[in-house]
Amino acid sequence: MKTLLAHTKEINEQLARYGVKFGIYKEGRFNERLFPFDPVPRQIPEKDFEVLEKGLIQRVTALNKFIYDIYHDKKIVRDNVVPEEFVYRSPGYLAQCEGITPSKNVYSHISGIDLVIGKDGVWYILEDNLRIPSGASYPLIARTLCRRCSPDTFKRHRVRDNRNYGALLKRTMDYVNTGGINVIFTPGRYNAAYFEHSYLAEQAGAVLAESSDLFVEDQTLYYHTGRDPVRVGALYRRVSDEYMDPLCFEPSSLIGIPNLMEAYRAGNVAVINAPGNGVADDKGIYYFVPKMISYYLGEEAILKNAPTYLPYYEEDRKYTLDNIDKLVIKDVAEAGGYGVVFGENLTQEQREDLKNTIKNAPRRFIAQEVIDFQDLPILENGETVERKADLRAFVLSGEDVQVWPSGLTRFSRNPDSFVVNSSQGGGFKDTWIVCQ
Amino acid sequence: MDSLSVSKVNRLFWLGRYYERLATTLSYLWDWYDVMIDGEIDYPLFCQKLSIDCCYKDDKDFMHNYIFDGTNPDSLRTVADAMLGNGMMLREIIGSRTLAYLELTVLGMKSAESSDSPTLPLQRVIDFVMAFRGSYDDTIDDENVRNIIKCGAGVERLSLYLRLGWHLDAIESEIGKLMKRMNRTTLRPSQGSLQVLFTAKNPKTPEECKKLLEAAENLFTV
Repeated sequence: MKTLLAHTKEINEQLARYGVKFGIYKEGRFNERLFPFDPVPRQIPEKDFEVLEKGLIQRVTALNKFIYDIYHDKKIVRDNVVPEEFVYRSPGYLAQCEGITPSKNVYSHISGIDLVIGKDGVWYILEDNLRIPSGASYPLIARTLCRRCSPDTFKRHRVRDNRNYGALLKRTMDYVNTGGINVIFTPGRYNAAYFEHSYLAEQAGAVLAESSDLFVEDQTLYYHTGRDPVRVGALYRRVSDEYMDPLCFEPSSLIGIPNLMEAYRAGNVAVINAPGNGVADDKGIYYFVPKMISYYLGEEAILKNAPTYLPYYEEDRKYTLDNIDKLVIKDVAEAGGYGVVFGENLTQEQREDLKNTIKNAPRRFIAQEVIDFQDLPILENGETVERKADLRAFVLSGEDVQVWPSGLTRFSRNPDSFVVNSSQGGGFKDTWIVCQ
Repeated sequence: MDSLSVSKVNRLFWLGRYYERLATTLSYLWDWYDVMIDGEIDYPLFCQKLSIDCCYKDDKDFMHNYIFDGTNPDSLRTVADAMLGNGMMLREIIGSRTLAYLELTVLGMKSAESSDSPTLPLQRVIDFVMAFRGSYDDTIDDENVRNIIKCGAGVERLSLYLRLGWHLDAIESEIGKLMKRMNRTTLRPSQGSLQVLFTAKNPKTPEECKKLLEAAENLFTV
């Protein structure tokens, strides 16, 4: 590992050369920053990864079945496994998607599942991201650049190659493609993840397009060219559900494609990930995922959830209110590390305010035990320090369900913080699956 | 894919215009910088020739802010940012390796800003633009794509030469190159402009320069 660390400067220069950035809006202004990279990789032994792999495939398979069920038969609600309140009051549930079956019945083609490893060595699922999870491009390009800067490191360590992500993405898109080209649909240059959109388009051999490049005619999606329009068969959209089609969702959206949902509903285009998936990655629904696995697959969940309480249930509400100082409270409507409050950090007055808010709107929150998760070594100003880190694993669902043998390891640069999101100053590492 | 969207064609063309504007203007400024060593330079005339705001306090302010001030819409730093911005939106067409030269160009401009003698680090900026030219010409298979970028660069070069009254003896040859490149693209030129350029000789008078400039600027409506 010393050889890799000796090349830290060159690796960072390479990342700058390739523009490995993310965007952030602060006080109404868009700024692009290099995504801070730590060269010390997270290492996962292959045999541990095999367990993770099985657990993740199981989880995503159940989540796909859940989304189908919610927009069709609703058996899981009728059977009282998931209360209907948690489904229909979820901001991710879209009535406009009722009855729609996407191409090849796949809803969550690219799932980003966030995990942490506890000090007990057990992996815990923190969050499922089934709408537009981002981040795969960063370890993908970092691996290429690290190999270039320090080839000796990779001669000495047997690490599973992760540079096939573009091929996996293409295979996933091709499988559901209804006839036509593959397109990555971006909101544009000033999106936080624009680097990723453009890099994945290059890696997957897809066309990168904005709303002005696309139009719907006769329930078919086309790519606008100077000559004849070209039909689009698979659209990997990096635009939120609500902005995707102004004639179906938010009418003020300028970044959507009018009538896209008509083409999707008619089965003339695959939309990746499917609209309406948000119903399954709601923080409130997270609590029920182990129950879904048991309900749809008849299996015990291989991977554990972090111990979670739903103030919606009276017993859990009482526990949450009595133990608020040792719990982390999450607002189910927030994302990106926002709306996360650690009870121990609150003043007495703030704690009482939060308790009252929970009592008044119990469905809005979940409470979790604070997991004492393993810190990872980070290189900071030439010294090694320990910081909190999570792992976003990417699961691709097409003809089969596959876990990418890598992942985005994000870490907090603040020694007192558990929040690892890039939007809040976090950095990233490569994730190595190490062969014996 | 054979077909490009209208917006991609537009970006390819402007990518060509911006990189040429950056490289040619920097080269031109070198001569000015040399003159400045022995005395004052006539920067208001430069601004007038390029039809840009003359908002500078003195020679020094002009040389620094015209090159490096990213908040000045006329500055070369703004040109470099626009060049990179267009390139970023074309990554899947031009490729990450080629795009990296545009990133390096902007990084080069940033690092030159703090130098006492910016001409030397700015030499590297021109080198990166030249590397970009070589890279896209060598690596992009699609002839249409390559030549749309070159048409943008060709129009920009003509525009700068004619505005600045620089290399006027090369205008006919530059028009010839532009015509050849145009014929290898899907771009549709304006017939009026085409006629003017097709019969043009090297201009001798400001009126002739003005007529050719108008034709060059209106050749493509992208």
